[in-house]
Amino acid sequence: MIKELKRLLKEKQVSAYEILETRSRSAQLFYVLNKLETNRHTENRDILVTVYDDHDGKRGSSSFKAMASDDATSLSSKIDNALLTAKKINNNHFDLYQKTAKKLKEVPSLKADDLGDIATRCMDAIVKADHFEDVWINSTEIFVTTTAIHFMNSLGIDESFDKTTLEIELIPTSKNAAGEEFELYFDTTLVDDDPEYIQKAIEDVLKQAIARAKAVSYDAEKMKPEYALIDGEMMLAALDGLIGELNYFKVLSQSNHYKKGDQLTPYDLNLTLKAVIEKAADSRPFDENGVVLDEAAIVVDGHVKDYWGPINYGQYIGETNPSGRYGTYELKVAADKKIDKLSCPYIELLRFSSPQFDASTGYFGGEVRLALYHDDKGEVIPVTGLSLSGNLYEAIKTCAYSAQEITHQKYHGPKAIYLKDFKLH
Amino acid sequence: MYSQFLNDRKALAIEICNKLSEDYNYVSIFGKHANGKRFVVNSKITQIGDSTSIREAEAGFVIKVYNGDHYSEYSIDDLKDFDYAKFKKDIALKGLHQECVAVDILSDEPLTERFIREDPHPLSDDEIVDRLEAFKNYFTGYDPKVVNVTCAFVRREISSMFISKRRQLEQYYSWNNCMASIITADGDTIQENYDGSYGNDTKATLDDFDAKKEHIAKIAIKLLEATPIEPGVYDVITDPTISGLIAHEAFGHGVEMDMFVKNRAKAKDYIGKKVASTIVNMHDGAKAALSAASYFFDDDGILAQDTTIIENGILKDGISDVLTALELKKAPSGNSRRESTRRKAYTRMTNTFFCPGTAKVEDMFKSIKHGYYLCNTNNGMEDPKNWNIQCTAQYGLEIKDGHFTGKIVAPVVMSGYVLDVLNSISMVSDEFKVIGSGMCGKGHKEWVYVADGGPYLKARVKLG
Repeated sequence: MIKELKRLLKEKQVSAYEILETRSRSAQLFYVLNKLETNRHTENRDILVTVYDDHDGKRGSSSFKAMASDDATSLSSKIDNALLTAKKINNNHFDLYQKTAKKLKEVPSLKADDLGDIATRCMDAIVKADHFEDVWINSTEIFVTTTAIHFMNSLGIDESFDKTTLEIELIPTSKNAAGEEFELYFDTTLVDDDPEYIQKAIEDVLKQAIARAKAVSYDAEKMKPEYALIDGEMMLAALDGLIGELNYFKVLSQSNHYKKGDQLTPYDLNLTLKAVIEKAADSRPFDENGVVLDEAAIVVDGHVKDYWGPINYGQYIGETNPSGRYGTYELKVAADKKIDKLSCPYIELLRFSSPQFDASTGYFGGEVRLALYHDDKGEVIPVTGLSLSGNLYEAIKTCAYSAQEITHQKYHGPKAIYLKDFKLH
Repeated sequence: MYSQFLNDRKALAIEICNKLSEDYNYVSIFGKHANGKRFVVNSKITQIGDSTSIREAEAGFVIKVYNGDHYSEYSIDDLKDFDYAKFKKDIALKGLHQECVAVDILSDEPLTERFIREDPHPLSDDEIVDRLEAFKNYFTGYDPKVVNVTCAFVRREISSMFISKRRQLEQYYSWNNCMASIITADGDTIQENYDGSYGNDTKATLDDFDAKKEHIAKIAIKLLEATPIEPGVYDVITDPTISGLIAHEAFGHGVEMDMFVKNRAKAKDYIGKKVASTIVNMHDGAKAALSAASYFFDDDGILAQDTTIIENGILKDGISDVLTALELKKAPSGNSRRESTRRKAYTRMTNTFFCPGTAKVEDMFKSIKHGYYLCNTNNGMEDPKNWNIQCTAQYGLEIKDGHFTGKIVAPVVMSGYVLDVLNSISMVSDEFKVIGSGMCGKGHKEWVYVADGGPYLKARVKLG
């Protein structure tokens, strides 16, 4: 189909175009109480085509998807329709990505041998982890997916990469002394299928589920945490929110809270977008416009250094060397903002119903399903029945960070943010 | 118009189904061909083209078989690529060390039918763009504090086909969404308001949006005055979008019966019991309303239905996909839905709503001593096991002694225990609306289009 598309684009004298082809193959397993309910095998292909038309100093574009339902006639008609649409669109001109000397970075990936084997071995590790009293796994889903991405444009870019990832979603359930049951939600995407690593990760989640069953109601009168620790989903929601504020589109739409040079924090905080982070599954060597990614420092020493995003939006706002769209990022903070161990009372907010961030107001928070309250005597009390709220744009100025670092699917940096400015209710 | 691609593959689907039936106790083939078009007119850029999301643009098939041990599914783009030997190899599980869930063979009641629902008043692409441009110009000129406007229109056309040994079903339907996002700024304060219209009639959808554009602009400016809410427990009136969000999160997810099978839902122990105030009634079903999730048959070939979830405060029934219904030994409710043919079918909501009551909306506002009118769904999350919910409203308007004070708070996160929220409902309006612009995930994935809604509700809830 790609050959046919390129022939048609040439025949119709389309001077500027992009083709993004994604082939995927997966093995999927679905378990209920560690018994197999369904297995699936998938093999699919997506082809996204964008054609451009230049007129009166403007550049119009229109996209379509070439699908299995298309033949040469329908593809020809889709190109014609897209060209006709592009001619009517008067967006500012931007340049498609051109070849540079940059080399593609190698992305972390599982070895794509037998996807079904990887999935069944993963389930064996999960079952091995499921050995605690009063906690079990109600539901497990495993997806092992090989994705091959191929980008081409009219300026001769022709790049590809592939990676194999392992996604695990599981629901651990625990019960308390009264027989009441509680569950947590766990979802991760890995590029590491080491059974011991998986077993350890699942054991940690099961231990949290046990704590959930023992959790008592949050007592605002007795519990006076000086810090609230957020990690995992909530921390990423907050950091994603900050990074999102620096996207070219936010600048273009005049909805950005920060401008270049603005001070985000009165201490050294560095946010760097990276093409590749070891063991981060969202790593990628190029973006949807074929832009070869390396790294882009967007916050340096607490100040906004650069915006980031798709090359068209970048050029619309006057960037001469737009960054491209990154999938992973790294956070580094000043040594004096790192805390190894707290001696004051604090609360670890481990699990939220759904972490919330509102870019307009900076609000962040949500209902907390599981927290651990650490009192000043070193006692740890699992608590539930509370909500967090705060303003990220303010809270980021006064927070500290864990000395311990972690790599998630799209992140490397401190394992937790220690909030000073927050409300629990 | 029904997909020519699916039409062309029907004979091959029957042939493959017959061939596989020689080796498997159950065989079905679900085919889907979705096309969509997106029109986006922004203050700075215009984007018009075919939809590229997998939910709006795909051509693919799912072959489902039962091998006497468990069900397997095989997803490919075109049945022309089907190779029997490869199929057997690909769905085989060599290293399986766990038992399988004990299930029976899915029933296969004979039925042959084709369903078609066309857009009664389609408009050309140019007409749609002209309408969007006019909306954008209206918002841009409304107030100097409007700094950016995006107006969008999305048209979805779905054809699907279900073939088994004894069933041959085909359907075509379409749905439209028109929406706007208005960004306003005043000094360092930046706000965004969004709202939309929907329907299977393109012209009516755009006309409806035209009628509400002034309100959308007014709220966009008003939001610049918004302050955070003082956390606490308040009496609230919910607009139909928030009522729908509560229906969806409180008892929609809670009665997805695949959660019963996994022992993940508290509701399974409450069928026949009181779960809400006696003035509360709730339904779900692709046939229960004409909205975003109104198909004729689901992704496992079960006809659309209308399920009564809550009747006069009593939990009556749940919703199910075919495998769940098989495991629970009950009839499936037509709620098997897939994000795409590349994903498994789960029990999913369709059009989920509280039914109208008898109260007048103005009387409901008058009855509030101090509370908030909660408006515009943002998002929500449920915990079917422990019945905690979290619903986020885009904004709330303060009411004191039955009157609006003019104060606006945003955003507003409502959380609580499902039974407390539902039992606190003390008034249900006679006005009612199903909102056809929602999306819902299962866990954090498997996104499908849903609708939810209902009347205005008066309840007492925790806000933060």
